[in-house]
Amino acid sequence: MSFTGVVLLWMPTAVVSAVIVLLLRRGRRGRGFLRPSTLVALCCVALLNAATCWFIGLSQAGLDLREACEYDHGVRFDDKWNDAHYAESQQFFPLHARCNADVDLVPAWINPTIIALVLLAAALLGAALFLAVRTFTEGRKKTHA
Amino acid sequence: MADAQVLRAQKWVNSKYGSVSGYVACPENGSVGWGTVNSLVMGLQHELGISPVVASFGPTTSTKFEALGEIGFEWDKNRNIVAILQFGLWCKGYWAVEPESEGWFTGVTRDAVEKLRSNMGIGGPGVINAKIAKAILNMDAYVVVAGGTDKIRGIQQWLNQNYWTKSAASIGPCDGIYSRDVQKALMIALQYELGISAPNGNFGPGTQAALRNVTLSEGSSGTLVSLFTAACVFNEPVPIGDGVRTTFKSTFDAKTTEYVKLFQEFSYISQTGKGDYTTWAQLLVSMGDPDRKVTGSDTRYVISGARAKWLYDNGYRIVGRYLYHPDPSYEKQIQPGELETILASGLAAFPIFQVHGRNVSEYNYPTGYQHGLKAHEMAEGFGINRGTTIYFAVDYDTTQEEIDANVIPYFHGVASALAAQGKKYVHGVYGSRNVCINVTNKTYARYSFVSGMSWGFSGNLGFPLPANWSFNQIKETGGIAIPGSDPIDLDNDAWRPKSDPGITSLNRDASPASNFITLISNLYNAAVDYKASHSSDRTASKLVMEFMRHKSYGGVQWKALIGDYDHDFVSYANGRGFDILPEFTDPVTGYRIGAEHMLATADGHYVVDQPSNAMSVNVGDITGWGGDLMTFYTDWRNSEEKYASGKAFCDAKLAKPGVSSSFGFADLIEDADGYLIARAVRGGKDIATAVRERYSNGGTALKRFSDYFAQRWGSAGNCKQAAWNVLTKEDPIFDLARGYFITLDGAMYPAVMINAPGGSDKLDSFVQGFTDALLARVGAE
Repeated sequence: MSFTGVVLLWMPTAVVSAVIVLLLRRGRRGRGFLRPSTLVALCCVALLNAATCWFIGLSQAGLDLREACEYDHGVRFDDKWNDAHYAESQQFFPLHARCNADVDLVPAWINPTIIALVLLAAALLGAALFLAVRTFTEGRKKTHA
Repeated sequence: MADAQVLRAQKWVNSKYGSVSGYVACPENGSVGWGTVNSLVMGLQHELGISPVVASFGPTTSTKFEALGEIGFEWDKNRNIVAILQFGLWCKGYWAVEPESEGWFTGVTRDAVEKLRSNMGIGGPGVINAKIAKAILNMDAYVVVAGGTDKIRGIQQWLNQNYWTKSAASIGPCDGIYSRDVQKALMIALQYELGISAPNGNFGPGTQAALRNVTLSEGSSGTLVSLFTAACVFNEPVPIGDGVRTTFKSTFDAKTTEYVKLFQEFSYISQTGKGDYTTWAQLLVSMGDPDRKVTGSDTRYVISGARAKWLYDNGYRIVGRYLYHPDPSYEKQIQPGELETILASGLAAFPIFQVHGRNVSEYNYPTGYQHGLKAHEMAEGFGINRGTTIYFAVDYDTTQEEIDANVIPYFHGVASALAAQGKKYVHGVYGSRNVCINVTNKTYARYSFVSGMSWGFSGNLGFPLPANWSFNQIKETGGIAIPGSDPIDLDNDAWRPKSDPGITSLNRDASPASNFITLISNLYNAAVDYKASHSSDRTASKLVMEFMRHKSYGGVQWKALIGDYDHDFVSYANGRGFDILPEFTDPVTGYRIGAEHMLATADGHYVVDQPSNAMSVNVGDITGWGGDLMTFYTDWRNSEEKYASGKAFCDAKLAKPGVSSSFGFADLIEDADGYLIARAVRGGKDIATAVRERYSNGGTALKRFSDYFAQRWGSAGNCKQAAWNVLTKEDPIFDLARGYFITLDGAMYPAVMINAPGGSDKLDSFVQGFTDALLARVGAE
């Protein structure tokens, strides 16, 4: 994985994210971002970035972990260690691509970033729900008043 | 392609000197070759008053040229000499002068010479002396050529810069390629630094004695370290993992120590991490330190009980013996009962086949075929086990041209004959490093037995130790007195650990893959039992494939492509004591192939049958050749500076034994066999039968590439188009796979490349290289 490669792979996500944010800014000008639909859209942006991040982490092992370790990274692949721990490198989350006890090809920032983005998405979704409920209840109060 | 200036040079020199005594006319075709530069040299000799002229820039030519002094701007004592030098510059690709103005040393010529000197690494004004003239009138390049590297060119320039004015040194090429001339230049430089009185580039006793006093280690610095690290670079990559490389530097640092240890491990010398005498010798000459202790040997003498005991007592553990001699009573040939004697003494043996083998005329396809048949007959007669490697000898200093024209066809003949006999034995090669490397790359020889003690062979100078070396012959000792026996001559051979085990028993005919066949058979029976007692919609054959891939090819990526494996069956099989076999010996090539990768590929092709149109591609292909090709494409794009042509990259790296590559020799075998096993199972066979038929004695693996090619693609056109489609098909799964294999590694996306100027031709060249590589293997069968 090269830095250029990560940038290239992230580019579509970044473009989509930027377009969404720009549209939101244009649509919400003067009305603020604290609207349920805006927050849902931002939640989607966070999830899209989390998915991209996950994909980048997943790709470290390629289709052949041994080859990724020994050929791409010049790291010894420990068969014995893998025999006992192969399940770690096969799970959806947290992502690992372990060549041996010491070397994990998945960069250390990947899993925390995914967690942070998913938490952010959850918070945005929660806030959107809160605002939606509040708007709904306030609307009812106004109607009844 | 014809060059107008070169063509003018050829016409001019032929018309000018055609009648001179000894002159040999060059072809007038506009292409630079030795014929042209030699004609220019002969023209120069005529101008210098030498008669008859000869095709060599020798000492007399140098002396007479030196007498002219330096030739520079406006020099006009002899305009024909200036013209010859200018035509030489044209041939080297420099803009020597305004065309048709040859003979006038103008400012343009001065600029060209300055540029040339800069490229040589020597710098200085645009004047020519004898050494520079000699360098102009040869075929050396001073810019990086295909296959060369800037790193090696930097060393070449450094050597020129520091030593070109010394009497024993000359200006060497700066083409980025490690060659015999570069090796000699390094040796001369080393001799100067060691204070040798008359440096000559030979690894003689004086040089050896001086080197024994020079041990470099971490912290050392200076010119000797530069020369040492240069030798390290010339011997890279050390074929461990992706290939370990180092850098040219004047300080022996921790990275150098790390590289040296790996080099020592690969070369099987003491892993000191230092630049000691043994390591210097190993870096500089093919036999390394000839006096180091070894455990291997070979001899033309019969090994009797007394001799076997002497060998064992003196630390030898294997001895090479000849399978055949035209006169069977001559003791060079293994004698009846001799192998039994050797084995009974605790030694192993390895078989060599050599009938003369000292002249190029003996090497051609028919002779190779006959030798293959004879070797099989003799080995079988001696009761040598199936799967043993027989070393076929090339016992002379053959050139690259002879290797291409004669030696390779000979080994194709050998391989064909062994295949015709059911491939009971596999071929290895005995010869110089270059012979071994070529024969391995082009005919897939299993092991290399290097004639290292012939260190002056052109095929040993300027070439690294072959990646698949098993024996390195380093010293011959004559007249060894042995109690109870006549004296014998013996060659000492370094025997690489974990390489060729040689003959350790006799009369066993089991396939080298018998452990794999047995495992799959037992596993299949277990899968049948499992299905009888558990509900599973998978076939027993598929369960076997899944079990074999579950540890290394069961991740999220594989789940997405072909689904998850049956975890319950894995537990069931583990509970019954089964475990995967990571690799086994291929009975056809003798190479180790990966069982997990092969059966993951088989599972992929089993789950997703091949498309009805042979040019189309699908997910099944990604699990096999398609995925490997995407990765390999990425490697090519990341090596574009070295390999502008995709075909050249394929020719150099695709499925070559001993060449570090993401699409290695074993990968292609695994792709082919995985595909064919899947086809067999889809055709109704169970996997145990499919595997047994493939790898048992005389099995279908003998024609694996022919079958693979015929069944998957059917024609070269289909193959090429399918390769193109793998890299460019518009499909979400393929887009993701390419994002995975290509984009993330920073390589240019194929669909982008083909829309760039010339990009389509580049990709076409790459997929043509893939097709040619497959066709070459089909042809070899």
